[in-house]
Amino acid sequence: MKLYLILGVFLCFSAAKAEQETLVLVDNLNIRETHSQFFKSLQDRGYSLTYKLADDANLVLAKYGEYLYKNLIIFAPSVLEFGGLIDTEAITKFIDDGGNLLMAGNAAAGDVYREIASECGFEMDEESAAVIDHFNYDASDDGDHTRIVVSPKNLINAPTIVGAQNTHPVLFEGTGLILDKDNSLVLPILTADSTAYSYNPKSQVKEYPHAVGRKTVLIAALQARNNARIVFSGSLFFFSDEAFNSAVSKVHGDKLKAESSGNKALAAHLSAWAFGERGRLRVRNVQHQRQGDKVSTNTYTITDTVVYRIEIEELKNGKWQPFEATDVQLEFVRIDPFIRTTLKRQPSGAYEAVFKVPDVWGVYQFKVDYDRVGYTRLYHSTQVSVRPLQHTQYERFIPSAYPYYVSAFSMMVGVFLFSFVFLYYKEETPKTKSE
Amino acid sequence: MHINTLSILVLCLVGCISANTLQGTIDVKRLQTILQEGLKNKDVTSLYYSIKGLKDLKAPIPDVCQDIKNAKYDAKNVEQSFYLANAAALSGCQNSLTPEIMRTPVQVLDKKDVTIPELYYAVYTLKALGKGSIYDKEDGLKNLIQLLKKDDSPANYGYVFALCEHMGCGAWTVSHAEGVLLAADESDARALHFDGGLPVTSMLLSTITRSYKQQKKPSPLSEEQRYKFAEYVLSRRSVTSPKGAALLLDAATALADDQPTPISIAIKGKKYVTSESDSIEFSITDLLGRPVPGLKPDDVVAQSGTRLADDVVVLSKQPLAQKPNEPTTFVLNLSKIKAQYGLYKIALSAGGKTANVNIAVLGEIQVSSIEVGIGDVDGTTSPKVTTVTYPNKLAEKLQADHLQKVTLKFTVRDKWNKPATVQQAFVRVANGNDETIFVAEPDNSKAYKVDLNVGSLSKHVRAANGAYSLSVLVGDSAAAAPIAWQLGDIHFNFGRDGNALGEVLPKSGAGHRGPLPEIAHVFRQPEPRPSRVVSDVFAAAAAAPLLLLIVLWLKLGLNFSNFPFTLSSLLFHLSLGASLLLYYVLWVQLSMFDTLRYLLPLAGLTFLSGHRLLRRLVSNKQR
Repeated sequence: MKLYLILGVFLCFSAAKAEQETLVLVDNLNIRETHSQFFKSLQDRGYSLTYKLADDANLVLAKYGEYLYKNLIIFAPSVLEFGGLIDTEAITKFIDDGGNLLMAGNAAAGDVYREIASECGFEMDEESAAVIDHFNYDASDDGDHTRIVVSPKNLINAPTIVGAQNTHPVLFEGTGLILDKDNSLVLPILTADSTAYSYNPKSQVKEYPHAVGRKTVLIAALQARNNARIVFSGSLFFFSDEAFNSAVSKVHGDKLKAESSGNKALAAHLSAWAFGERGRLRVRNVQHQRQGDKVSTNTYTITDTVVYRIEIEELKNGKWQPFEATDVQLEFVRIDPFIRTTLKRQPSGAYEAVFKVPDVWGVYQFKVDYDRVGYTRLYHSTQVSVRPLQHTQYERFIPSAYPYYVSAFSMMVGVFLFSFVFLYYKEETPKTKSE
Repeated sequence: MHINTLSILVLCLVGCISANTLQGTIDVKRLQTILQEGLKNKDVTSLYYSIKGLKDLKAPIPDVCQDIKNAKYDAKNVEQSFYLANAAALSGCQNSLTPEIMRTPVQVLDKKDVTIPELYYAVYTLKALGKGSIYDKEDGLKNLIQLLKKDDSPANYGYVFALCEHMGCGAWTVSHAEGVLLAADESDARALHFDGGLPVTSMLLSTITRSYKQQKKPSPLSEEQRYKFAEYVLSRRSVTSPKGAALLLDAATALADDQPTPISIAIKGKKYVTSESDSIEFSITDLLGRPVPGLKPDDVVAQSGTRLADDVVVLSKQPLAQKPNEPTTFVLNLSKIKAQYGLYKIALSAGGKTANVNIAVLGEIQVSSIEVGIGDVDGTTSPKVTTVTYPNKLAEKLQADHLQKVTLKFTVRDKWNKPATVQQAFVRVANGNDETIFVAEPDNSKAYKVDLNVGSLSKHVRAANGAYSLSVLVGDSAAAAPIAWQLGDIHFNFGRDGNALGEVLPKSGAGHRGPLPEIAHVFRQPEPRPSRVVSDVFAAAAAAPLLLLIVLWLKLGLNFSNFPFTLSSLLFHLSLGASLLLYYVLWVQLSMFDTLRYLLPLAGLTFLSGHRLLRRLVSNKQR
């Protein structure tokens, strides 16, 4: 018994540890030092980082069908081809199997980057193209106006991903991404201003740039249907110590100034989201029953009043805690939803809805489909059948039917009385005559 | 003449192939603040490194004896003992230490399977405590070499070199240093460092340079190595811990003091010239931001300046002026080229080293007026042209429909009113958050033109009829200030496929996130029923015949003398009555099956007793 317990604890521990296993692929080991603050923030949050050169001949993601890492960071824009057993296909499979990916490139990023980006639903601009903004560049820019200052207003409105308080402008230097508008899983985390465009900084704009204005996405994210998360930044500089520490001062326009850039906070938030520290939900418990009943049932009669209760938990600081929201909705569906209602949060932390089953019978589902930007998609459905009223369940004493009841009972009373009259009535008069 | 051009060419080639100077310095002030902050930390490691770093900087060290006295450390760990003992020795607080601290180092020295780092820590702990070497020099070195054979990592070499300094076997260091230096790792063909990062690199560089100085030998570092190590040290300048700061300082000092010192050439302040300010300041220093020793101001020369766009050489051999009172700042006057805006590459040489620096000559650009023409797509009628001057807006509200096109024409001019080409000449058509951007193209006379075909514009802006704001964006990396000119509104009418402005088109279902509208089920209404009074009246009417029958019977008078007082007759009527009563109970509460269960015995009883009763009645009549 004790052994099992120890084994269980050990398994738990190793499972928790596996969540934090992270492979970092870099161009050269110097990146470990130029981006040390970012890596340090990850290590402080408990990730164990394994640094490998991107063209290391012994790279493996999985051994004996088990993944060695849960998260993958690729900071290797100059890589032409990954070494070992890693290639675009292996990375795609890693994502398909639920692995998280954080990837950062720059203007010189090669075709491998483009391939991975397009597998994830983004498109990376051509080689040597960089995001240029002649209106919003930083004072530390080298003259090409590619080190741009991006206002925190251009961040996606999703506190789960980017954090709630982003007030510092962000420094960005790298290539632009283009998103497919119809792909609902892809999120533009950070977009450029209207004045930006993505082009080769050395030449005049002759062809229409691939990304112009606000359509230029600087950092994009994807949450796949299996809840694997991908954050793709066009700029490796964005994560560097230099960007973390430098002050921001915009040369033109509103002369935006800040003591320090917002890169550090944003990078920490993005990595926390990408590696599943935040925005993870799960269903803990679902209950449904007739109002007043103690036990659950899977059959309801039409027009019953039903109480549906769902407990949802969110991962916060490594612990599963009750999730707080005001927009969790329940659908009662028979092919189409018949009822869609917002669940009310109870003091206990559960979400509850009380509603009346429709007067149409059939096979229904209780469905909670909570799909919000930045959260894992929560989908839970329970099938129940709704049947019509039994013959005993109809109304018995209908006032309008009293004439019928009365006539039936008067008939019965009449029969009872008439049985006496018919059987025992004795005519008297003829007898007296004969007497 | 030929020779002169050739030499420029050669110089340029040299400059182009390797930017063989450093491009920055280490911010000593920042490191000092880190070290001073580190003193507040009660951890022995950061205490030691903070004191050591501040000592190297010759900065004042506050009294830390109390901290050392109270410092918590692992007495069994020789490394921690080393930190504490050396922190005490450096700050002159040996008296605050307890003799306890001696024990671990002595034990380590007696240990059989001792490692080199342990030896280093133990020996230096004892040294700090004033107990000189217990080592016989020759023997000790032999033992160390034995140990090195087991594990000859650069880190171990660093420790052995440091021990050698103590033992006085500097000659051995000198004979082995070059080999160790060759084992340094190169990253990106730019920087050199040792396996183990900054601590190992720092220790090796400082011990090697010190030993060579002690032996009065020229430094073993080649110039290339010196620059590459300096490049690495620079890449680590953003350290944040006291340990990192002290090590960085150690390594940087070792490199900077090693003559000839690596030179750093960097632009100080702005990297561009405009017509107002025509000079650029360079700071030429060593790795630590100090003036380069032996550098004469005449040696600092801008060898050449080339325009990046067309490779035209615009200046050659222009000396830089040293700024008074600032021995590290040199000023390059560029008034010659301030009229020709663009990006330039300056090859700057100082003390025999050349660095390539990109600078920009910024020119002012202006767009004085713009022609907005609205005409038919097929060009049958001449377009109606409105001219707007900067920075005004369109005076009247322009209208264009789907059969027309809007043409915008403008010329970008520089300060001298000459037409210029720019990198970015965009026209933005926006409506709220939707925007579409068009690229204006220059013709032969550098006039920019863009055609907005209203009919084909519709698909970009979701075909919403209404007012659109028009703006022109002109920017260039060599422009002093970009131009964003809000032209004002223009009204587009997209004809048949147009939508009213502001109408939200239904989104596709798959792309929707967020709460959906609530749905409530509409229950079927019950059929209308007559009022209670009507049903009561009819109920009374239905009951009336029975009442009438009873009344009439009573009036007629009934004679039941045929009633035989027998068991069967009583039973028959009771059971018949009970059956009828059961029907009432069925109506009130029972279910059909319950009723049947009760009815079955009653019916049997009624049948039997009824049969018997009738037979008696018939036989009575016959009698």
